[in-house]
Amino acid sequence: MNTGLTRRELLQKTSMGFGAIALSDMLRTGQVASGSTPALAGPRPSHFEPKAQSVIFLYMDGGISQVDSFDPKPQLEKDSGKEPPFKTDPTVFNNQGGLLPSPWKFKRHGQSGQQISSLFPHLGSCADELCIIRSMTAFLPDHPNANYALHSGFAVRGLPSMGAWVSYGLGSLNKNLPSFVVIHGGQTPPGGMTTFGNGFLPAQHQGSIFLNKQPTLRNLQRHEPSASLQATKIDYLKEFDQEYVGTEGTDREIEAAISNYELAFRMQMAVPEVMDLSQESKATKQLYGLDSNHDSVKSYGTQCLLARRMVERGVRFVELTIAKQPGVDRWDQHNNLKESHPKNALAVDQPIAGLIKDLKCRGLLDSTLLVFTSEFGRTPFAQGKNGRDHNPQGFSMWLAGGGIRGGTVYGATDEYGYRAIENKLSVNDLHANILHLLGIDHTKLTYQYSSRDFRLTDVGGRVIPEILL
Amino acid sequence: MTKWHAFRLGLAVALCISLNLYVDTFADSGEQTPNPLANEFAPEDLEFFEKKVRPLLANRCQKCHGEEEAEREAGLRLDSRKEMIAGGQSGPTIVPGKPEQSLLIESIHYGNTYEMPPDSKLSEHEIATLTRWVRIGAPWPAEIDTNKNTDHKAIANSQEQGRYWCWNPIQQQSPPDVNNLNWPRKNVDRFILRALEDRGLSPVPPANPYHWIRRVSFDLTGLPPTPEEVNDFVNDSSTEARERVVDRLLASPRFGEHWARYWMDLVRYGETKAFAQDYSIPFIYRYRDYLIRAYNEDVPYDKFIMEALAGDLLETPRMNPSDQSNESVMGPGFMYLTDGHHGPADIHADEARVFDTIIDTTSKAFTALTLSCCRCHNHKFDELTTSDYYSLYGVLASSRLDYANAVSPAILQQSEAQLKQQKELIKNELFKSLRQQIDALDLTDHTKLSKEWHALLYSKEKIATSHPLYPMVTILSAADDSQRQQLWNRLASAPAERVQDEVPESLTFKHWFPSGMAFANTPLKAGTFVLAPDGETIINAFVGGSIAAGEFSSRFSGSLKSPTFVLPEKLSLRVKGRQGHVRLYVQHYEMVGLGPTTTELDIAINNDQWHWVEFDTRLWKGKRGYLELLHNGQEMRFIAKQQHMAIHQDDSYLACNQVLLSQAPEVEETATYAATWQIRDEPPADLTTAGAFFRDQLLQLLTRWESEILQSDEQDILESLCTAEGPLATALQSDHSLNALVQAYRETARGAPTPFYVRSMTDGHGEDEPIYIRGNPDAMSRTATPRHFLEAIDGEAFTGSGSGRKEWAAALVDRDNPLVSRVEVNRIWYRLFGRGIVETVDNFGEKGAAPSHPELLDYLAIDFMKNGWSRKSMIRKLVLSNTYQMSTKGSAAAAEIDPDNIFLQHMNVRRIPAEAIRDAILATSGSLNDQMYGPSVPVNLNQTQPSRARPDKSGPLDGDARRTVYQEMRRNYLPPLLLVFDLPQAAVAAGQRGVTNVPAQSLALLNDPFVVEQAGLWANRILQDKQRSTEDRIHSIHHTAFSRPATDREIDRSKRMLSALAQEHQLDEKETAINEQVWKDFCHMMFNRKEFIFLQ
Repeated sequence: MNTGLTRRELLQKTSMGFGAIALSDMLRTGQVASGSTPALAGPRPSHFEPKAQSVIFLYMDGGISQVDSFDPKPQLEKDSGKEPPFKTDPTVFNNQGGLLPSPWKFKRHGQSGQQISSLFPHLGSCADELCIIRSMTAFLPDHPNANYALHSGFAVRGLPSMGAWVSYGLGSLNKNLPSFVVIHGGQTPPGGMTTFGNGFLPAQHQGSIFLNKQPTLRNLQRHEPSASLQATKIDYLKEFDQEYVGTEGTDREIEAAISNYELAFRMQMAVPEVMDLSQESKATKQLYGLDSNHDSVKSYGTQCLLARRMVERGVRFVELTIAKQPGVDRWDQHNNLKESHPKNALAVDQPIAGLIKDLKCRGLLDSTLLVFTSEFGRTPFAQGKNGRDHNPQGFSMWLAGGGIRGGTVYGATDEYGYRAIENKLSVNDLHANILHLLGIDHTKLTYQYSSRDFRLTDVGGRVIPEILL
Repeated sequence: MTKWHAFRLGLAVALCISLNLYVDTFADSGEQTPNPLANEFAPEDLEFFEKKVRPLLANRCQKCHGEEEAEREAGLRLDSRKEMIAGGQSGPTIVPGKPEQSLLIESIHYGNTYEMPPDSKLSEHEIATLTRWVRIGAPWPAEIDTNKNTDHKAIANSQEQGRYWCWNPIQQQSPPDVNNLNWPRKNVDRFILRALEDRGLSPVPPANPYHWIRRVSFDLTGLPPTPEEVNDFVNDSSTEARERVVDRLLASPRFGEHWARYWMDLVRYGETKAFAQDYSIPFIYRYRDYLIRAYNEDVPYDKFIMEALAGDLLETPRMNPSDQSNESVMGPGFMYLTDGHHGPADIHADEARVFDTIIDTTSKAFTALTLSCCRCHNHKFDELTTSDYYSLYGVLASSRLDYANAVSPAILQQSEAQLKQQKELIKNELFKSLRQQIDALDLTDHTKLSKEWHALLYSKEKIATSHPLYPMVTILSAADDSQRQQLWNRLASAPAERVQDEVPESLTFKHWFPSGMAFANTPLKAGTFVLAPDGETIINAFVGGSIAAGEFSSRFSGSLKSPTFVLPEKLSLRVKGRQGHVRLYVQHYEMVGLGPTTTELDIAINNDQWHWVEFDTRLWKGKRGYLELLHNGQEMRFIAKQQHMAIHQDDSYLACNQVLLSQAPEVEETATYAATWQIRDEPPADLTTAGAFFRDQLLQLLTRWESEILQSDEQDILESLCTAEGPLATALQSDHSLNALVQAYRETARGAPTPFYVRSMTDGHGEDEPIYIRGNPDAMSRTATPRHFLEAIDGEAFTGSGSGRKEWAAALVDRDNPLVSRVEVNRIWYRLFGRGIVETVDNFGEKGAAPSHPELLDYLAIDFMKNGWSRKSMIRKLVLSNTYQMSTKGSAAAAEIDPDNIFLQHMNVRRIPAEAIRDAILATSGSLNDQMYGPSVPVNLNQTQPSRARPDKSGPLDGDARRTVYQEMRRNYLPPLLLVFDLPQAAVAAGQRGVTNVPAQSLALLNDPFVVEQAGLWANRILQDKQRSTEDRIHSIHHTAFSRPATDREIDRSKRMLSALAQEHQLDEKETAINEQVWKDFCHMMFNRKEFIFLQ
């Protein structure tokens, strides 16, 4: 039987360092002997003491503008409307205008005095938790490629998403829930669902797509009118199947397939429980903006609150995609910058600030890493009159929580905010740091595929002590 | 800027003069590398080198540019002065004494070509040290000539001895001796038995007949056997019983539907382009149909490969026996199955990405090699080089994607010949009729002239003096003789010479590449016209003197492609046509017409007047590109936004008579046709004389037309008279004998088959590609890599004039090629036994697995070739072996000695693939629709996420109950039920599928509405015959679902289950027997039984 991962393959595919650890763990739980990949593997030891248990990835799909959010550039005011005095790279739309100062004012926040624009008033109140990176770069200036790169470390489709790598590397802390969950806000990123795929990793590591409406998870809803009818059916099914295993000897695959039904049955219960917000207090809901007059805030607030509930229950990697708002195309403001960036910011500002505060007061912030980024930034010069094109050369993102040095800024762009010139970071570097905080040496988390050992960080990746506690 | 770049730009200038200049090769400009300076240095300079420079080079440079050849990047060594002067793939690294000319210094400054060292920039101080070192002449102690071969191409030759097994020639093998002479049935069995006996194991007894027929039916057709087929086999006691089953299955059309899908995995079959928009690939399903037919017809595998890579180039293509259409030409269809991205900012990088995936797919599919690794460096483990990679890159870059019309060429030629004849008759009648019409014209009827004729001249409410009829009409309709004479004199003295529209010799199309029947690359004869396929007008346009398609009928479709050229800033063409398109492919960028910057690479032509169209190519200046004229452009879209709905238009034609590598010329509004009308000398005295003059002119034009010596401006005059609103257009219609001929012509034209477009390729001129250093398209090696096959096998340069696809394919199927036959028999083995002889079926390289039965592999490979590369006969041999017949119950000894069952002591339990699960559900419920071929059934969008790539309309939940191979495969919306059972993502070649075991599979079979719906249909069918007993029904269910009767225990358990379900539904005993809900629940669980998806 050709299985996803036999014992020998496992030894072959995983590098010795990490493979040995994962293997010992799997042997302990008896899963390797079956020759099958465990459906929802239990927790696995990490390479060294982890700072974070879980990651919440706040993906700002479309490309948030750095000079309008976390990277103030007064020089743009001075040279407003002038042709950029620097060499510019080809852009997607090739409709380059003059330098465009930010329509929003920056203010210093917290003890650290972090500068954040007026787009994010609530986030301002969490400024001391944030480590803002102003020197992030992307491989390419188009959405799908940059999006694949941000998620998988490679600017092509079909490689494992970082959530899948984390799931593969660390396993799950909750055997009734998947270890990589995407809480889908209603807007699939360019590049489609393969963005959250497992690539060449075994299928149980793929992102499970949860909607914040029914049905939460594909085929999760029992189709039988009553649980007892379903239970009756499954009981008889088990009887039939056990006889089959009896006559057919001991094929572990078949046994694993049988035990999956129990797991599936449990998931039918566990998922509605995690999605049920009725036990959350009114204050908590308010904190996330669930009482907001804006649907967009309520919707993203719900996603953030669900993310906390999942992290509480041991989900390793939770990714949030943004919602669709009427007339707004993600953060992708080739035009309508002044109208649409505020709408996008409004939707996420209070919910994310609420999430940070809630995690903190529950003592979960120290063990939860928050990552807030787009696939790239936007040009400091205009596209048309009221827009900005894609800019992969330098943009801002932030990290907070588990093991991150809050209230700091790392890296810098040039005086116009176009190119990262100081402490340049790539997606490989970002991934190296995420894995590091989870206790994984990014050079040792490997999987053999197509004649080479693949890593989330490809051949790059640099752990940056300055941003870590 | 590298020299190569400079050369290309030089070429661009040359091409501004002539597009015909055929680019033979981007050869090196031949410049000499600088001579090294005398190697004698002052001691203090040498000390500076030893103390400052050598440690710096050692620490920061030599890890990648050192002695170790395997580690070395770009063929460059920085541990020797001589090597630094000689340089690597990008040329000399240093020019002693001249830091500003030294690539080393530019690179450490993070210049345009390189940023070195890549991990982090050197400090200012270190940069200054190296700069000073070069400036003072790069002092270095005397070097001992190590005489090391730095040529990366030598790798293959240096490793002749002790090569990895996959490169060794396939050896003739005799079946080994075995102890148990009774067991083997086929030679295959002796190899297997010998390996078992060597380990002290013996094979298990055969599987029971029920298990065997279920196993072989799924393996050969992806479907369960029907209860009748099972009974026939079980009751057939003859010795040929198994043969009969196997032959029936191999002859079934279901065979191709199942086995083609495996090939589709390898070529990453999908019907859309993924990325953000997930655009559709129109007509790609015809490639799927081609594969199904090819498997069903058992096209020899060597031929199959020839077709895949060069199906368009075969001298005698394979024709479909039923309609004589061209099958071979469809082979290259897989080249389109790439992800495509609309409007990339760096179009050359996009080409490199797309070609990389094609190279990866091609090398894995045919040779199980990971050549893609060589995009950036020589293979770290296998005998593969960057030169091999860029050789195949060059082959692809010399080829073009193409729509081919697969309709039988014989039928088309016959119909064209007939139309040609009929057109001759029309021409004769036309000349006759026109002569009469012209004779009959009253050119002195002032009122008619000034009213009706004059109206023709207006363009935008202004008299268009450039109208071909202007001189005649304006003179004849003058108010009086004096005004007439004035007009005459003005016209006679005006800028007399109209610019002639003849194609200048330098811009002839003779080096362009026609595909299909539409275009010839020579201009059509003067006066050639296009007949209207219907309606009142007889002639649609004149296209003489131009390159044109549609002369006889738009159904003889095709395209014309230019040679590759370096793009200028502007590019313009003079064209006319209907439903035509002109496309510009920059760096083979396929998605023309889509995306922010690339929209304008596709221009629709829908205008019967000659006009200029212009491509603004400033963004891509200096890139390579080629032009394509497409006859039925609307229908021949490579990529469409969603499902492609274009319908063939019979009036389409396209003509082009000039191509400029510059801006379109300003249209000369004031120039008149005066000279063409011979308006010179003295004006006519009066209207009568003038009328006679013009009548004479018209008759002369007619004569010249008949003699085919018409100039293009003369043709314009005739066109204005005879087409559209022209004064003679309706007159022609009233000529009955002419009209009858035209109707007959139209009838014949309508009888010709409309185009059947399939995706194929064509050749351009062969062009060698340089190596992209570290895979970077902006950093190319000095010289191009001559196109050749893998150096490890045969690195001789291709000598033909075309792309080299045919040579590549021929090298693949050469019987001495150690890989191709082994790779294919190994895949067949894997699909039948669940594990390849080489377990890593897509990787025969050193990182892959070694063969478990190397002699068997070679035996099968030779046997395969000997039997005409027939896949069916190989499959037949294997499934009729005793090895294949074994039961799945292994012995305890085997579990101890060979726990992974590598040596096949018993058969492996296997889960059936995703498609087979869905198809088996349909077959079992009785709803399977076995309609073959055609457009795919649109994907069902139930429970899928919204995105901008989501199709507008959802397909049916049951996919019209057609087999899974006919379901639409949108890359961003792959069917979830299949994905959960390991359908590959259509991103990379997948000869091997994962077989995972995840709870989502249980959830799918428990709750997916498709599964539930099918359970209901099955239950309905079971209950149709009201008289049947419950026991009978249970038997029937087991027979259909599991290919065997139910056991007594199963009957008993089923009855208990039915009662328990009845209780749940609160039914009494009597109702149970006929209650649909109860039976639906029961059937539903039968789909969920492991036996349904696992093969014993």
